[in-house]
Amino acid sequence: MKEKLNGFHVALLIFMIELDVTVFMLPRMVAVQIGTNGWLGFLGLSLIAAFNIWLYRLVYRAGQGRSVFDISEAVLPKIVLYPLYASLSLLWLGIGAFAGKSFVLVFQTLSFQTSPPMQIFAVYCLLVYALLAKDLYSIVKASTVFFLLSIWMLVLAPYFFKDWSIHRFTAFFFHGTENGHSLSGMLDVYAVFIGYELCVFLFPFSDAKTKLFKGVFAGHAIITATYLLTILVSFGFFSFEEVKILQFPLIHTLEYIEMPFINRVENLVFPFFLFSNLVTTVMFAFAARSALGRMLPGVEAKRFALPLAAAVFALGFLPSVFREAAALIRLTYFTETCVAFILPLLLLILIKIGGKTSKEASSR
Amino acid sequence: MRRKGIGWLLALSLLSGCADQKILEKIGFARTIILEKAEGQDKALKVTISIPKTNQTESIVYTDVARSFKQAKIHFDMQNDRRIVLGQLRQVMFGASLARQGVWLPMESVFRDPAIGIRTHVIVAEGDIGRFVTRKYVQGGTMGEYIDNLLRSDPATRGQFDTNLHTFLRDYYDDGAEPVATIIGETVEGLKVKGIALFVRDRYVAKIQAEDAMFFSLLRSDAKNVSLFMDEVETPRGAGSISLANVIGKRKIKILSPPDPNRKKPARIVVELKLKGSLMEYDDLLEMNNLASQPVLERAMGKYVADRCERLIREMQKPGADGIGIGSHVRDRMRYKDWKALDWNQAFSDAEIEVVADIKIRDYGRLIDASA
Repeated sequence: MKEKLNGFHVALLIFMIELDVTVFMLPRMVAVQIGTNGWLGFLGLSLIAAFNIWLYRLVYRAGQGRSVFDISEAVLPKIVLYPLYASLSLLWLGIGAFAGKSFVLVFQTLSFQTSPPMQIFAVYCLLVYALLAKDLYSIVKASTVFFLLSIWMLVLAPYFFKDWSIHRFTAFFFHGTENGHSLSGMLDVYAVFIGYELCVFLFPFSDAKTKLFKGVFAGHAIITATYLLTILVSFGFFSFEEVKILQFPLIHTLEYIEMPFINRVENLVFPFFLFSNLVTTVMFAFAARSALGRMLPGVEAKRFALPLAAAVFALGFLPSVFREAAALIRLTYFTETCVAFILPLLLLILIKIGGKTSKEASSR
Repeated sequence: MRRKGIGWLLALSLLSGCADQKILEKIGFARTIILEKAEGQDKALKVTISIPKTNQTESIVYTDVARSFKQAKIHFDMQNDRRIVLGQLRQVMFGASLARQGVWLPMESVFRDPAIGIRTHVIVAEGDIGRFVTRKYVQGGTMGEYIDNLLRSDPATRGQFDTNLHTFLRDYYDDGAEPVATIIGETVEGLKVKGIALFVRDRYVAKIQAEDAMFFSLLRSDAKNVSLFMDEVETPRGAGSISLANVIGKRKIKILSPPDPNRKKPARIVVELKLKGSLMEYDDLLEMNNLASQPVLERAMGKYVADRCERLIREMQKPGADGIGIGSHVRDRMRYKDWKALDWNQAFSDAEIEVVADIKIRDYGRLIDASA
């Protein structure tokens, strides 16, 4: 019998996919785009993401657990679908690459400032390759371990209570944004949630017993709580205008931690973010692998690992400085947000049509 | 073949760390940056940097006049035999006259550098800085080390607030608070905390005397482990000095009414202090040394602390420097539009601020005077 994904592991996986380089700037994004007490607006965005996940659940129910590919190929001809698969694969590889490269560039503001970033990124891609060469179960198992290596950072939060003041939140709601509230601004904040939509590729690995969507919702809830804590710490620890100008408020808070035997802890803590970022890259590459595997059914899944890791590495050349990486992250994450919403709607329509045609076929 | 490939990959991943090496013996860790006004030059800064030698008692000091701190650092790098790094910087010192002019530009340059820790102390230095940076201290260590330890053990600020890059910038950007910095000056024996510098935005505008610094720290936040010396406490049985130790202070700011500039009504604010401490000295007031008279003593001390804190606040109100962050509490009570239209520095100057202090004697040391 084929091994199935447990709901618990799915939750941790979703947590790890959502947690990536965007979290470093999250408090600033919330302050700049939503304004004072932006954490409330942030919770609203999280609910929208939860609604999006619910749409995927509808797809799962309606499609009776069939994979995305089965659903769409039942209705649409391959000639329409293949270019779509290819472009989506490119998008996902791009997200993986730019998230990874941005992480390297952020890392280089702290240490290894003058090493060639692509050299560090090469090592990153090596790790991507090592994970991608395994099957999904192994990736999920690894990400469970990585989860433990990341989640402990939450215990650092109480460290800031002493210098934390509720008055810095101000009593104003959603004031003081850079240029009012805009859709693109909300998308900027929403980008931190991107990653949950990959649950659609987990359909073939679950059945009624594994409670896939319980896991996805739980993962999304944990990550929302984690993000919320990050925002609350930053908003009470820095003054509002200061959060708006800090490039990476999260790293900045870590800098404040000082132990009797060590200071500048951020250099030690920061590398732990590598794991969550790595899972993001690997899972997006896995999504690309699934799509490409559908187009080339003759090729063994493992054979994709090397070319895909190489593609991620190659895409990493596109942004060479942080400004470019941030722009590309914005572009790809915005596109992915649109994909995340359109995909389930499209699939629901296809299921409806497909349902009719199969009925027609059986009645004939 | 496969094994060879793995070998190469391992080498690549492990050796890549060697491309950007920093060898401890070849690095000079700067401890102190001193920024002063360059005499007679408008756009220049006098930059001094102190790098401790490996014996930890002497330090190398470089001085240069440059357009910015970073330019000066390049000049220092040309002279120093080790690469100068800023990761272990302990304090940024501003000369008093530069601080009065405004410290924003050099401050931003320091803050922007991710290598510099945000716990780096921000200090205003009085006197001949050029001399005390090169002086030898009996307290041991170099000046940078000495000041760092001094600020962490200074009774007024100990455990209450470090005036470091983080707190300075936080309050600089906060529209309901103004930054403060510790003032350091020279004495015969060494260095001394000479008070607290009050800023408006980035300009040093007023000084809180060292004697008042304790009371300031009570006003600024909840406090722990403060020692209070009260020189002239008026009691029904004469005046005298009292000393309290191990004081735990709770501060509460009550806004009776926020300011209303349209009706020309100033803000009305009450600062409530609740202090608990051990009575250590009341030498001039020995008639009071019985348990029954302690409540009288507590009330007298309360009045003294309230009066003194009010005087302190009046001093802060003159330049409009809200170093204790009352503004952030007023902000909570106002509408966004009104708050944005308000000039808080002015409103703070005009505000009617009252201090109420409630002091409890927790214990009175080793002696009990119940029978007296």
